[in-house]
Amino acid sequence: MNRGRSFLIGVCAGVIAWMAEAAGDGPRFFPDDPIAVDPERQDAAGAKPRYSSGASDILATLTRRGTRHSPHALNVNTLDEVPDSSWYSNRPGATAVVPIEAVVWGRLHSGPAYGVWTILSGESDSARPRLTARDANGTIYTIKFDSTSHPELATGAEAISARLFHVLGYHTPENHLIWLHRNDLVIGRGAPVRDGDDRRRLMTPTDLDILLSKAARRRDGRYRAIAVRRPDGVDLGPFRFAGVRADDPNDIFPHEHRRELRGLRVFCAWLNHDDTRPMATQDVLIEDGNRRLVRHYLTGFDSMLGSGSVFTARPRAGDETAWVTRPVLLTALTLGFYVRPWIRPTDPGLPSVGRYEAAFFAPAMWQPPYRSPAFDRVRPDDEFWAARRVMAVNDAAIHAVVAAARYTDPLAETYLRDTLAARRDAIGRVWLNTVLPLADCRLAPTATLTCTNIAVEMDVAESAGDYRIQWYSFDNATDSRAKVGGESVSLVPVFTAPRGLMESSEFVMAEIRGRHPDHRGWAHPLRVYFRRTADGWRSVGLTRWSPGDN
Amino acid sequence: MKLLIARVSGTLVIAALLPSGALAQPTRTAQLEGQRAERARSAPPAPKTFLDKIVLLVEDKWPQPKALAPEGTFYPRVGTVTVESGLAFGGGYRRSFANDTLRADAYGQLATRGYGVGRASLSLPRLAAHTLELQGVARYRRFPQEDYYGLGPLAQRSHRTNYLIEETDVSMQLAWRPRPWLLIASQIAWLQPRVAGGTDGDVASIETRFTEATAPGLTIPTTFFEQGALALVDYRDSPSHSHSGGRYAVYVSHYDDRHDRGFDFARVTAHVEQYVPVFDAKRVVAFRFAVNHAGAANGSRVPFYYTPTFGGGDSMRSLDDLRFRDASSWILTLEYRWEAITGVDLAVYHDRGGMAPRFESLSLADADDCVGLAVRLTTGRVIFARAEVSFLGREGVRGLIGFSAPLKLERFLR
Repeated sequence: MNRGRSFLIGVCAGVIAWMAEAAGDGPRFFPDDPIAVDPERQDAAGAKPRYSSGASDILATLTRRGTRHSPHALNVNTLDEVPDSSWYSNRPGATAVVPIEAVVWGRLHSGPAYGVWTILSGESDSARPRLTARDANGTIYTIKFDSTSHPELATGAEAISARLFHVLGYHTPENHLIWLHRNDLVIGRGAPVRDGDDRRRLMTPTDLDILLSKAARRRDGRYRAIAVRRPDGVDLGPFRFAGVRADDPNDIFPHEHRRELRGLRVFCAWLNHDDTRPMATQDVLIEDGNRRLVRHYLTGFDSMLGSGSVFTARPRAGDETAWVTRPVLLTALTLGFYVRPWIRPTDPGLPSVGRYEAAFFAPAMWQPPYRSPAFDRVRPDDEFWAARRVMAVNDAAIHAVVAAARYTDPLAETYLRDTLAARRDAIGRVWLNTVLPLADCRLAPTATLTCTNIAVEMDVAESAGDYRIQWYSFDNATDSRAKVGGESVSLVPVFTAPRGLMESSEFVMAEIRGRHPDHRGWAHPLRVYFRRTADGWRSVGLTRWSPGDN
Repeated sequence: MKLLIARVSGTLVIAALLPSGALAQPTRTAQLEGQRAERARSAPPAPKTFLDKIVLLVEDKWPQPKALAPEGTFYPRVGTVTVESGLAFGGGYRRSFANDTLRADAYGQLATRGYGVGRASLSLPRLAAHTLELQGVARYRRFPQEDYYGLGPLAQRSHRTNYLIEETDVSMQLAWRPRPWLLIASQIAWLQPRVAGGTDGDVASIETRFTEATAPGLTIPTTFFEQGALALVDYRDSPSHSHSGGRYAVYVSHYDDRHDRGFDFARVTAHVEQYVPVFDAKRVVAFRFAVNHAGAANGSRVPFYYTPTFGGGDSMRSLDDLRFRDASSWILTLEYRWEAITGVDLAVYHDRGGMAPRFESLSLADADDCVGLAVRLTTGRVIFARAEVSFLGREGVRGLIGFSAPLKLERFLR
């Protein structure tokens, strides 16, 4: 073999190495895995606002179904967690106890300035009156009132739900309860109003009177309202639950395969968020240093818990999709006298709470009326991820959130606290047990692997059964493994690695299966990966197997 | 050794030629950044299906709502002019003045079967803190194929004819709505109807079978001055798809024959409609009772084209539209509806009603009956389509397809 030929081989090897890297055939774990932040560094200056309405929502929902398969969520890191991004932010206490300050907008703004509000626009014909107004400091808010028939219902639901979604990690507009007199509102120059004929024209004092006549008024003459701070940036319209946004180069993961959008279904079940249309979302173009970024918000929190915004939530809300064959036929053939089980739960008789209950709540059966491609792709590992976050919202945090709604009726506050906690626990019992609920695995230098059983820790599963573990040495470069030793059994999630494995390997992998008489999901394997570092063994990977996975 | 050096040097040459960092230790961050950079360089993903393209077009190109409505707007009108008029197309123009204190509106519509309507109005809609509206209306309508079977409950189906009616009217209305559920209104109108033979070649024209004696007003044209008053209480939860609440209306009017050709008459209509939700508003019992009476003064008659009608989708549903006419009529409807699935209601109903030449001759016992089944498509707030089949009526089974809610109340204000 001459030198020229060897040089050529070297060139080929270089090209192949580069192509392999370019094609993504690198090692399973990169040095910076697991990433905590998804690097979204492209300038999204080209993102343009887009139209949205009820009709376009329905059209998009019907036509944009996304891909049919349901792979592992694409935007999770190697520990199966969601890194911070323009979609999601891991708040303090995401998987442990939520600090109370996190639920009262903690570090955020202090709320609207005291003084006169200048109205920028209004909707006098809306069933739920609303205004856009500027406070004394010049900050713009949407001011939403309760309907006369249901004081505190919608404002209470919005105050609670927005805070909880914020705690759970989503971007939500900040809101504050306010109490207004008619004299606190001044119509701004050129402020339009949409009137009863669906026409937008200049607002007059009579329009404001008409608008306020539809708002619940307290005995002291003030109106209770919720002021929702408009997110800074350019409103780009709603996001969709499938596909990617064409004008955002950072948006590379199809939305139906984003973990936080799939897992949203669990949070919606908890809070009975039955209006999960794109219209209840908002993309905002923000300045981020010298580039622009599209940030994705959840909005529209007034139709949650027991609220249907203007009235109490309908019995259907959250319990059934539009078409289910058997109940439909039974209903049709029995002149409607067949009563679906979800209709039976009664209104607790608290006007400010509406129809929200825990006794009949079955998390797995909960369905939003609008089908979402992301919800359709949800997998047990997505549900586990979300359920763990729900369970992290402890009773103290729930108390703090409900207190923020400032209900006049103490019974309403008590009822909501209890119901939120009961539904939270119901979610934990179901969705923490559909996979093997081990997490936070640590491999000590002493070769002891310790995991936490989240379901047992959260008291939603008995610690019955056992765990079987198989150890492997792992070749990161080739993503291959070699069995070391035989399978061992333990009654608790604490295991010891075979002698010699840790001395000879840079990476160690363990596959764990559980066994529980009540929870078949525990049998699905969990793989954990550790990398040797100067400080010991670092957890770099975790994969949960779900039913149907190969 | 030399061979190894040659291979390494080849690799180094490639490394030097490739973008910097290409052979650096890869990271997840670099991998994701690379994908995004590639995404930024490449064209945006194209829509895969035709429907995707449509959605994108709607989202990207549809104009955002303007801050204020334009003062003047052209608009299309598609639908029907009246029952069995055929599909109608047209358009209009509306314009507001002085921040919508004054409104002008004009439209025209032509239907496939030759029906047509035109209307122009000028209104002050927001007087007295939006509770009072004053409106002037000029209207023209041309209905060329209206059915007429003769007067009275014994009119034979085989006597079906058709006629043309053209009507021009100019009216002034004052409507007061002190509460959202209460409307009190009065109107004066000048009406000029003209009747002629019908244009439906498949049915005999009216003059071939009826005379002035059997169809009053057929050959004697005249002009009317109408004075009417309306009281309406309407507290239904959703007017176009009601689940609870009620509607009660009384309309009284007097028609003065301006040419003294013997057609002075008065008209009274009373309408009661009630909706009772059963259990959770997914089941509703609907009740409707309506009485119509048109009575002429001594020596006068009621023109046949203004006599109350009986039969059709908003009356006795087992009968054809306009099947009977007489001075007095009543209709009672009892309906049970239930929601099968979101967007689809089912219903069973019983209609009972009758007519008579005099109000005191109306009898609850001597009446027509029918029962029926209905399927209705709804949006929750609106019934936008319905299919109904009526049985046991005196003229057999009859089906109908409609595009509005049943139990419609006659429009009194022009």
